[in-house]
Amino acid sequence: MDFNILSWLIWVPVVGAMVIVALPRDKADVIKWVAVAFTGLQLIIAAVLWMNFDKDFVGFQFMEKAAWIPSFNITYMLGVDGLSLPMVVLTALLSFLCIFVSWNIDKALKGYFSLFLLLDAGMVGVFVSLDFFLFYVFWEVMLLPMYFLIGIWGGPQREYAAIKFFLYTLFGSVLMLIAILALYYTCGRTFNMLELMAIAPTALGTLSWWGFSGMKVVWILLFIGFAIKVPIFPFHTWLPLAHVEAPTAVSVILAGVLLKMGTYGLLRINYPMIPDGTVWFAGALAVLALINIIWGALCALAQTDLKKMVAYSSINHMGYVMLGMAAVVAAGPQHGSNSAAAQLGMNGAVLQMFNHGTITAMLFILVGVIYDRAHHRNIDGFGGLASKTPIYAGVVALAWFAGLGLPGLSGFIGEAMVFLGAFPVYRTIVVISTLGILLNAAYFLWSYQRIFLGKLNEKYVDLPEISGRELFTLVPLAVLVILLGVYPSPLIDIMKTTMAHIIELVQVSPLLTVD
Amino acid sequence: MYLQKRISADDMAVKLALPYKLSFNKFFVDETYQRYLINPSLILARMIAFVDWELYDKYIVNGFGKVTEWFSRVVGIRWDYDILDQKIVDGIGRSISFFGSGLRLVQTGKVQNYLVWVLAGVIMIYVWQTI
Repeated sequence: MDFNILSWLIWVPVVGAMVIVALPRDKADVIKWVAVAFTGLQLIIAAVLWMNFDKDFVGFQFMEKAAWIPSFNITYMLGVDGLSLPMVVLTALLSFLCIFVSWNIDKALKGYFSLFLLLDAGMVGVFVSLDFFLFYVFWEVMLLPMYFLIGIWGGPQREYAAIKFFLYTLFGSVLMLIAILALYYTCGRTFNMLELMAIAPTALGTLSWWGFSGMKVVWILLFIGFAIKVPIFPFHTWLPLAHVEAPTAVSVILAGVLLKMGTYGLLRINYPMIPDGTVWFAGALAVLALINIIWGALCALAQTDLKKMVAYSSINHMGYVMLGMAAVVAAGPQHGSNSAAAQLGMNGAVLQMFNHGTITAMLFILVGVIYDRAHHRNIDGFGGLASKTPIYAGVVALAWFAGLGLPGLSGFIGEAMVFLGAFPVYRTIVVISTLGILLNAAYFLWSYQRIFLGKLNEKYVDLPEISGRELFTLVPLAVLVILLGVYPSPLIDIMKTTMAHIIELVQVSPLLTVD
Repeated sequence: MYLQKRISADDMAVKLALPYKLSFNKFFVDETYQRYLINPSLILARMIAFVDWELYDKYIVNGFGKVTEWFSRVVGIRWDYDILDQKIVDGIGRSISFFGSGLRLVQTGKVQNYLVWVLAGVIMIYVWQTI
């Protein structure tokens, strides 16, 4: 293909960041509209990518390959499949909307928007990289703008939150780096993910580290690296802090896109490259999923800070993604070769990744709306707002119901598929984790009741209604939430072939095929 | 029936005390839920949130940071600066300078003194070789 569409997706925001740096600092409107233009262009390119994507093709499409550091066999290699395409589109959409969410930022605009665009480029880069070294570079590129965005434009505890986020994530990255080196040296000195997927499953089998199975060690190293990002219990406590301190748009990106990188990494790297480790760990992953679901929901229920409640709800929701991923072993003979269940679980997991991205983005934008007006987020500090701001209350109701998994809205489809897929293998875990749905409903409805229903709090008789700009950021997400809730097939069709292929790759594990 | 006072509601309430009380209080369904379902759930949620935020994050997660910080002080200040730099590196310097200051006494600039040292050396070599 002559038009290197994936490179365009990555480099358009980088060019945008450079343009913004070159603009005069007092031209606030120009800076914002330039950011809109570049993220908008990226969104259009992503839409073109979506429309030209061949959903029945097994493998990667729109591939680009160029030598980068030939002496170490490092290449600039890009490509998308049914797993990364939804994530790329989600990233482009949320980045575009977040420019509007950031409209009221008044401190160091140039810095903010250029870092934001750089973050955008890093995120897309992670999702389209097919060279492990390049993947790692983008993974780190994304970390730095995030650190500054939280640390400079955040709330009162921003510096503490920023350094905690940075160090925690870097800790994971370092473990991932060790795993990358191990893969590089055991698989014939290559960072090429396609080659690694072909070589690593057998090559790692002979590896032994200090008497441990090298395969398991490498799996765990990668897992911790990704688990911190998801975040999987017990690596989750950076998240509520970072969310509470980050400005609204950064929280949206953090929950909407960054968390998905963890599960994306597991599905892209761990699953196909180390199928034995995946099968070996699947049961533990299901248990961790259960802990995420229940623990996250209980913590959310206890919060009095609305933003922290939404942050913990993310931990809960990512638990469903993990549960669906654990269902991959259903395709193995000892679980009755139930590949339909494996399909449901894995597709449900990716669907839930996408849907959580849109739903949680709405939740955080809505929390930002009320915070901008009331300057606090204490759930008990409002009351009766529905009579004052009916439109806002309506949109919140939609988002809250989507968050608690109401049938007809997109959150339900992903969760239902996850449960359907996981049930044949992890019956007890699924039964207990449905309690999480109940708790979900409890904290969402209870907070809604305390904020919007009852007697109007005297302090907020003059509360302004949600603005047109804010509605503009929410409507596309709301449309997606309803559309995919009623008719999820277009999205499932995109990922189906790829997920079937990943299940097949995991099935080559001797742990699954031997009786 | 009630209007003609053939049956007194108050009388009935006394006669059928138990069913009356139950139905008057909606069979205590709300109260039971509140007491045995909602309150324990909330207590559990608050406990878990406390463990998560006030104990686990504050002591274990931040504990790693604190231990690293303490260890960095031990390595960076106690070992690196106090011991390695101040005691060993500067110690070598100090001993050289101490040795040098002793040696400086020898460097007098007088040819006669040097000749005495040369003579002493020659005698020492001669003694060394004969025994």
